[in-house]
Amino acid sequence: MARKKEPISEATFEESLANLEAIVKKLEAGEANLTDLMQSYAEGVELAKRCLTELEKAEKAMDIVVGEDSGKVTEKELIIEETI
Amino acid sequence: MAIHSVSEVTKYIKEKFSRDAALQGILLRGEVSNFKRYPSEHCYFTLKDAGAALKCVMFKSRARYLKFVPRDGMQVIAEGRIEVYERDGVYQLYVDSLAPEGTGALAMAFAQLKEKLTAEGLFAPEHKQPIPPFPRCIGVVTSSAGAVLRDIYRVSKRRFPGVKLALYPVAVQGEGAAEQIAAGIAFFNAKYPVDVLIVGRGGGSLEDLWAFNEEIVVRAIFASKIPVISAVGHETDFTLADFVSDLRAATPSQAAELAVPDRADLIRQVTSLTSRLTAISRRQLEAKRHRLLAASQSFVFTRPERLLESKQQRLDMARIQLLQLAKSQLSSKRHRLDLALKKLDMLSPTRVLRRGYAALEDEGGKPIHSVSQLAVGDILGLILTDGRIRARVAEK
Repeated sequence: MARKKEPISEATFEESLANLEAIVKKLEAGEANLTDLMQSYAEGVELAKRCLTELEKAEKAMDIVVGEDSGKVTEKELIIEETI
Repeated sequence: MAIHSVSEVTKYIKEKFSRDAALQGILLRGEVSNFKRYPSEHCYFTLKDAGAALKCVMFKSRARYLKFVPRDGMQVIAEGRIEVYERDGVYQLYVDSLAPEGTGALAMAFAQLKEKLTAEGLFAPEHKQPIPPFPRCIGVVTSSAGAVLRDIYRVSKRRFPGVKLALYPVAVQGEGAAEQIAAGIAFFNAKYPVDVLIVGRGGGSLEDLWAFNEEIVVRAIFASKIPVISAVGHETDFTLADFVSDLRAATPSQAAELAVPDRADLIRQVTSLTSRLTAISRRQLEAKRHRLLAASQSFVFTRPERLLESKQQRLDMARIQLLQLAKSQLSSKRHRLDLALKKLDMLSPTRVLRRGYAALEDEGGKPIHSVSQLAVGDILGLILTDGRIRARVAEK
């Protein structure tokens, strides 16, 4: 609802990582035929690149204070002074 | 009126306490609170009841005889003396011995509620939800003031700068705290979906943490469809919120660590997977190349005639065997024939004649074997090796 719709790239990261793991596991489990091998390798490298890109670009998200005002969801920026 | 120093007055009061026999050997009943045992093994706590509180100290020399571990909320009977501690300007009970008396009211309530909710199955492991590995947005139900939020913020951002925090500020102790905490959990579930919830506060006494033992909070956590990490800052004592939550963190910082993946870890993970991928692909490719090479170097390709050679060889062998067989059979027959001929030759009469003997026959040409066949004057034939003659028997 009020949630910022970012989870597309998020899902991509999670899926990419899971797929990458699956490919490595599959290859480590046994010999693949040449076509599969080349395809899996190319796919794996692509997935790894996507994962890293995803991780690199993660910028600071804006934090918020949520609440309710007569049944309506309210949002305002959460500012935390990092004073130690 | 004389002006006294703080020390003088304090000393004066201290002496009043010391002279009072009633204070020097006293038995009193109260509930233990804020119990702390220091590395020095001296114990410090407060005894209290509904109306008052009294600071207590139990030195190591006495504490070593304790037969139980005092816990906050326990009802105890203490024996000791009350004296003034000049440095802090306080009076306190120097405890000589301590014995539990029944169970403290709060502890009792805790035990009873725990028993009831356990029976209902609220703490059963099958109700635990997994914590999502890559939360994008984390709902936090805690006080907007204090170190808890700052700890969660600092740890989360350090681990994964892209993670978003949504705070639902609540009071974490005192009147209405439990209701607010429950409302916050319900709010996220009903109106503001997040990937995971952190519900907690910093450490404190059993009383301070009490909101997290209230039934309304326990039930709100149980009802939450969003996974809940409890973070009630207390290493040793569990609150009921800890039991019912999907994951228990000892501190708010730890909760953030459990909720938020570490970006550096993830990068390492991806990098390691990539190198495994490369290594295994290279190894498999190498194995294939090797097999191809081995196959292409086989004589089938390099010297196809060898395929025939071996067949040729078998044919040759067979031919030789056949020939030898025939030869050996032939020669054994020849041998038998030779023997037969030899025997025949031995039996030949001409052979005997050649050795100088003569064969006799009558005039009719019949062989003569015996003297009885002849009479004097008979004509007989003598056969020698080179011809025959006629002779007459002269004598008999």
